[in-house]
Amino acid sequence: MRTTRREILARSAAVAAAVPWSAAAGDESAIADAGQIQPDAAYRPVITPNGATLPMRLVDGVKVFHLIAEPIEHTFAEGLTCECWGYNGRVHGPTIEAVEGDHVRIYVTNRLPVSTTVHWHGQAVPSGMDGVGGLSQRPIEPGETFRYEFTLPAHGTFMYHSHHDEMVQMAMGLMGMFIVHPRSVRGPLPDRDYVYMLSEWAVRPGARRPDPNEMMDFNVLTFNAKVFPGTEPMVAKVGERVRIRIGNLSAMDHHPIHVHGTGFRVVATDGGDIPESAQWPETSVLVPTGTTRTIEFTATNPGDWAIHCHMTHHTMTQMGHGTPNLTGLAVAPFDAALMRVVPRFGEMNEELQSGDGDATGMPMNSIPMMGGIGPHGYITMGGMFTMIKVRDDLPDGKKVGWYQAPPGTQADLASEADLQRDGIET
Amino acid sequence: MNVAAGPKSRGWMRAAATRVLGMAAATAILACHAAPVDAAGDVERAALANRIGERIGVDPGVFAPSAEALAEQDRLLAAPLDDAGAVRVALLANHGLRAAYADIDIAAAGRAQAALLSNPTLSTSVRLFAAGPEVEASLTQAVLDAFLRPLREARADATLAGAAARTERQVIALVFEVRRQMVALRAVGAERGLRQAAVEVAESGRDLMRMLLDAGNAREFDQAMAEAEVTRARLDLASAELRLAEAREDLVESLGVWGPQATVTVAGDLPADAGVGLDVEQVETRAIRASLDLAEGRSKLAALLQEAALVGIETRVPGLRAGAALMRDPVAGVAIGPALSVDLPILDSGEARRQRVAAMLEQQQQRDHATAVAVRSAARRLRERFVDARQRLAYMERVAMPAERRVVHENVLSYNAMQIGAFDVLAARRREIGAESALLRTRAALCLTRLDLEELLAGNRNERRLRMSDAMPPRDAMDMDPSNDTSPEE
Repeated sequence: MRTTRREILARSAAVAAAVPWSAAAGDESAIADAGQIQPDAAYRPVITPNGATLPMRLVDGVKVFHLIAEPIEHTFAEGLTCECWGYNGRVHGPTIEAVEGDHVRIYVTNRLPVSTTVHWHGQAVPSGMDGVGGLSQRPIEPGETFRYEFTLPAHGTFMYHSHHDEMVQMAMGLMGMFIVHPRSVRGPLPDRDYVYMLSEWAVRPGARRPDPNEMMDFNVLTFNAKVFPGTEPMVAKVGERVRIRIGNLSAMDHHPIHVHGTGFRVVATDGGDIPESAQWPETSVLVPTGTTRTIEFTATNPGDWAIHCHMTHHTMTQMGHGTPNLTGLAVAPFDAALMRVVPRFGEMNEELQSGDGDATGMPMNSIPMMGGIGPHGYITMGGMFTMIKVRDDLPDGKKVGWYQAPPGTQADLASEADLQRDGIET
Repeated sequence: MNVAAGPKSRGWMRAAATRVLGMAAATAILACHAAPVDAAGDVERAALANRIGERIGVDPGVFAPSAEALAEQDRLLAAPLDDAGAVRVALLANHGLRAAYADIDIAAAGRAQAALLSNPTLSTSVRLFAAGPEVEASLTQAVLDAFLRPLREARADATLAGAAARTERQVIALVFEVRRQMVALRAVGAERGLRQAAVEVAESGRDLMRMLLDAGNAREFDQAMAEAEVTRARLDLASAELRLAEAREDLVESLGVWGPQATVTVAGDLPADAGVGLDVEQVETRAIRASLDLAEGRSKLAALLQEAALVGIETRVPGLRAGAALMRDPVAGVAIGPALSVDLPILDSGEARRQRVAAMLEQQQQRDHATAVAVRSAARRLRERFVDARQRLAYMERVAMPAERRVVHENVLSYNAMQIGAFDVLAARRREIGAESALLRTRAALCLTRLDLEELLAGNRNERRLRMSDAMPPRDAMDMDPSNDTSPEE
C-alpha cells in the first residue's frame, strides 16, 4: 500500500513542529534554512538534501518516532520512477535526529508485503533492540507494529536499515540516516550540516523495480536516493563552516567522494569523533560500504563546486556495458548504417525530429546516462553527482542561480596573443 | 447363293434383286449424309469453351490460334504479366493444351464414324470357258448395320463427352497451375528481396566492424565473424536467385513460350485478401457436383453400356449380309437374284466378348466409386488446409509480426539509451527479416491452398497438389535447402 505525501503530512501535522524541517525537498536551488540551534542541546539541525527529518513527539520526556515501512513509488530523477520500499512515504527513509542520551521510542509499522526489522547501525543499543531478524527479535510481520526503545549511548552519524532479508530489502531502499548530536557542544557548530546516504541500485532501462539479485552491475548510483540531475545542491556562504555526513549502505561498492574547490578534514566515522590531531586532510574521502564518514571544511572559495563519487562509472546512470568501444570513432556512421538497413530506426528518428506524440527514442522509464544543463552547456555527469554552491551572500528565500565567474577566472578559448606571448605552438 | 430359275421365277427374282439394290443405294445415300468430322469437333469445342467460361470465368480460346490471337500473345508478353494475362498466354500458346484439344477431334471423328454404315461388298469372279466367260458378281451389305447404328452413335457420343470432360479438366488444370506459378514467382521474388535485405544488414555489420578494427577497438576474430555472416547471407541470396529462376522457368514452360518471349516478368504482389471471399461450406457436395473426373467416368460408363448392348446383339445375332447376285453363263445367259451370307456361331459364341465388357463395366463402376471417395477426401483435406492457412496468416499478421516489430523497436530504444550496440540492433533486424520471410511463406501458402481448393471446386482433382506434406508452399518452389530457413526460432 502506498502512502501519499498528503497522508504523511496529515499524520505529522499533529506532531509538535519543534524540529524544523529542511527546506522544500526537491527544490534544487532553494536556499536551505540553516535551522535554529535547539535549546536542549546545542546543535544545528541537519539538512537532508532531497530528504526530510522524521517528526518527533515528546511524550513524558521520551522522544517518540514512528517509522512506517511501505512500498513507495520513487523518482530517482525526472523520467525514472520505480517501485521501491521506503519509510514514511520516502526513499530513503527520513533522517532521525536526536541528542546523545535521549531516550527514544521508535515505533515501526510494517506495511510491506513481507516481514521486516530495523537495525540501528553503529549504535550500541540493547541486544534485543538491535533489529537483526531471527537473532535479536522475531521479524515484524506485515500489518504489525513493533516498538524499539533505548537510550542513545553516543553521538555521531549513524544509519538505520532493514536487517531482515537484507539483500532484497536494502536493495529496495529500506535505509536512512540517524544523527545523534552531542549532549554538550564540542567545538564550533557547523553553519551547515548536511546528511547524505549513498546507495546503489540495479534498474534495467524500461523496468519499474530495482533488481535485488544484482551483485556486480549496479547502474543507478544515488545521493539520498537521487541521481543527477535530480540531486538537490547544497549551499553555503563564504566563511561558513560546512559539515557533510556521508553514510554508505551500497550493497557491494565503496565510494570515494570527491569535493571540488576545497580540501576538508575527515572529522568522524560511525565509530566516533576523530580527535583533532588525528583528523586527516583530504579532497576525496573513501566511504566503505557499511560505514559513515563526516567531513568538515570552511567554505572560502565561491563558485559552483562539484561533489561526486570518483569511481567514474558511478557518475553514469543506467549505463550499458554491452556496447562496442566507439572511442576514436564518430557515432554518425553507425547511425547511418542502421538508418539504411533497419527501417524502424529511420522511422523513429523522423518521429523524434518531427516531435510526434510522446516519442522519446528511449525505453520507457529510463533516463540518459548523464546530464543536466549547466551554465556552459551539458554537464556530462549523472549518478552520484551533486554540487555545493558557495556564495558571498545568500539572501533568504531567494534561489541561487549559476555562479558567474569574475573576469579573469573563467577558462575560455586561448587568444592568439596569449599563445604567441607564451610560445605555445598548437 | 446363286439361283437359276424358270421364266416366272426369274421375274420374281429380278424384282427382289432390284429391291435389294435399291435399298443398298438408299443406304449409301443416307450414309453420305452423316455429320462431317470437322463440324462435330467445332461444336464440341464451342460447348467446351462455354462450360469452362461458366466454371472459372476464363475463355479458353479453344479454336486454332489466329493471327489476332498471336498478336494478343505478343502484346501480353511485352509487358509484366498479371494473372489474367498469364492465363491467356498459356491458353493461346501451350502446345500440351493444343494436344489435349485434339482429343475432342479424335472423339468427334469417332462420333462421325459411328454414324456411318459399313461399306457394301462387291465380289466378282470370271471363268473363261471355250464358249465364253462365266461371270459371277454379288453386292451385299451388312443387314444389322443400320439397326446397330444408334447404339454406335450413343457410344461415340459418350466417348466424345468423356473426351470433352477430360479436355476441360486439362484446361482447368493448366489455368490453375499457371495461377499457382504466378503466386510462387511473386513469393520467391519477394523472398529474394528479403535475402537481399539480409545481405545489406550483414554488410553493414561487416563495415562497422571494419571501422572498429581499423580504430583498434575490435579483434580480427570479430571481423572474421562479421565476414562469415556476409558470406552466409550472400549464399542465401544466391539460393533465392536460383529459386527465382526455377520458378520463372516453371511458369514459362506452362505458358508454352520460348526464345525472347521466355523472359517474362510478373506484375503485382501477393494478394492481401486471399483469405476472404471463398465459401468453404459444403465443399464435398460442391466438389462432387463439379468433378470432371466423375464426369469423365460417367461418360466412360455410358460408353461401356452402349458397348455392352452392341456386343450383346453382335454376339447373339449372327452376322448377316444381304444383297443381290448376278451370274452370266455363256450358255444359260444372265441370271440375277438375291444374295445372303450369315456367320455361324459354332466356334465362337461371343461369350468371352460379353464377359469382357461386363468386367469392364464393373471396373469402371468401382473406379467411379473410388474417384468419388477421393474427391470427397480432397475436398475435406483442402478445406482444412485453407482454413488453417487463413488462421495462421491472420495470427502472424495480427500477433506474431507486431511482436517481432516490437522487438526491433525496443532494440532501437535500447540502442538510443546506449544499453546495446549497433550489432545488437542489426541482429534484431535479421530476426525480423526471418519473421517477414515466414510471413511471406504463410501468405503464399494461403494463396496456393486457395487455388488448390478452387481448382477442385472447378472440377479438377489435382493429385500432385494433394500430396503436399503440409499447407506450406512446396519446398522445391520456395526453399530448395531447408537449412536456409531463417525462421524466428533460429
